[in-house]
Amino acid sequence: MGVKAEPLGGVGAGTSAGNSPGPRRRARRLVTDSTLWGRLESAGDMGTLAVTTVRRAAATPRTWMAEAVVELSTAFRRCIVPLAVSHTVYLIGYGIILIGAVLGNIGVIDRQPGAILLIWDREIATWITAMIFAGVVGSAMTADIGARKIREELDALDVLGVRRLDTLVVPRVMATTLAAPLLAVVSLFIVIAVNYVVGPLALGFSHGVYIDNLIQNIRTADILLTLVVKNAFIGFFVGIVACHKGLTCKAGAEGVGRAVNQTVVLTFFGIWLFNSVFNLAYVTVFPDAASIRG
Amino acid sequence: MAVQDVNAPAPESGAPEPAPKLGRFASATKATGEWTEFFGRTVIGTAGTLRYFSEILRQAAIMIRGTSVLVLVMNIFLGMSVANFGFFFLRSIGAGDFMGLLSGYVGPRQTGPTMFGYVFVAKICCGITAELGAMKIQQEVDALESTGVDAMRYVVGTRMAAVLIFTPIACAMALIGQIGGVYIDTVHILDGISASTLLSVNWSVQTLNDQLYSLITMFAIAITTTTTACFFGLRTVGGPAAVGQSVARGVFANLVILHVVSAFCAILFYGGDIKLPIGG
Repeated sequence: MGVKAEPLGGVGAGTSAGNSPGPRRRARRLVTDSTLWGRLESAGDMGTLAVTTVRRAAATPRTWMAEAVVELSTAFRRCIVPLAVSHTVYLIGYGIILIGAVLGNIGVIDRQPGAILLIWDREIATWITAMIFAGVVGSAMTADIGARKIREELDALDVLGVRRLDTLVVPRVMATTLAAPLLAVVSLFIVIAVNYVVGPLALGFSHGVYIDNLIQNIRTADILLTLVVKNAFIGFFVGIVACHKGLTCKAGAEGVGRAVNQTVVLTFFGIWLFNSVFNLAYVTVFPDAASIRG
Repeated sequence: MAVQDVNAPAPESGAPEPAPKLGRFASATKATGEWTEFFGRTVIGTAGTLRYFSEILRQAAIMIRGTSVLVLVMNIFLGMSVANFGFFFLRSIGAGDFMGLLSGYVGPRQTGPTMFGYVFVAKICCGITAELGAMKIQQEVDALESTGVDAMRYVVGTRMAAVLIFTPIACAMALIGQIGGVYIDTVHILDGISASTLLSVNWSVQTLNDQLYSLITMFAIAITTTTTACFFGLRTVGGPAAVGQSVARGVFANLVILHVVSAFCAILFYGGDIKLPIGG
């Protein structure tokens, strides 16, 4: 059972083995066996994997393209229905009822379309899309690669002389990098369409006002930076974490399940950290991007 | 050849009963029906689970120790996101001092329950599915049943009871995290408004009812997602690879359920009356 992950930090243990066997070595073991050290190692491995993946993806015979397209379409088909459902209910529950009521109370109900567009393309489209993307695509990817790992298919690939990085990791990471911004843009379209149908009915302004206010509030920087670029980074992160956790998952009954669990927790944490810091930087650089025009 | 076959574990190929092929919609409907039946059995199992009180406490301790801090930290991130958007938005209409209005308004109503749901699904529900899936494929669940222990009580019911203990603590953590994130962002990082301005407006906008509704929403999310996690865990058939698939499917279903339940609760509590007395 439980094959332990290879202790990569053999530096300390190896060099000090001969000359000082006593407390220093024990202290070193204490450090290298600790959870924090394991996490640091894991983070370092992920960084290595990310850099190597980018380098292999940029190398000239781009063999990953065909499979990346297949993975992209799989990710898209997996995500689109839960995304549509989640965005629609969230829009009706919060965007129309709560935010609409606040705007109505302060007397600017006709700016609801612009407000929804701003809030969604800067924050909520990323929240929901990234969460569902990480939960659906990331976990499925970890489960897939982890199953190959424990069935020793990866070792079989090595024996055949096929690089696992080129055949498994690079197409998937490229696919997630492209799929996340694509899904975010599609979900923004879904929100705009649903709001066009439900918003004027529920809040009592005309469709003409809706279109007018929507067009006034579309900003290139918002769409490009906070929707496309941010989600591309998120997609890359999800792909790297999912592939790393799949490639290093342990054997045994719980191995793959644990790996998927770790992927979901880690990607959620990383996405939120990145999202809040990115948006802080964005609104600090463009402070007047937050006003609702119209 | 024959020896090879015996040695190979039969996870994928040897699924026991060849069920009739259903379409996607039909199988989803069937799974929904089975989920509903499972939910009923979970309620019955939870009702009779007090005899395993020590196991309940053990599960609750694992959840509280492992997840409370994560709930707090993730809610701080979300509070910072709210502050990033809201502070600059309010300043652009000349109302930067009223950041507390926004944080007190969306914290307990929208973002707190949603973020609680994300962390809950990611950490606890995934863990439950992985654990139960592993128990299922190692036939530990059958072993329990053969020794006369009801698995719905001992395995599912104790976890559900532990979740009921955990949720109020997580609710407090989530609400503290929400206002904490806004506080850190607007008062310390952006240096935009003073702490007393933020906090006084924040606490005067929030009422006890809001926090109560927040708790109820979190209970609704926790109960439905835990049931789904147990459901997918106990449905696992096959080898270790199937556990991973179960976890992936469980997250998939749970994320949709989480959004639907939280939005439904918002409509239920605030759809008729927004309960925000500003502007008459």
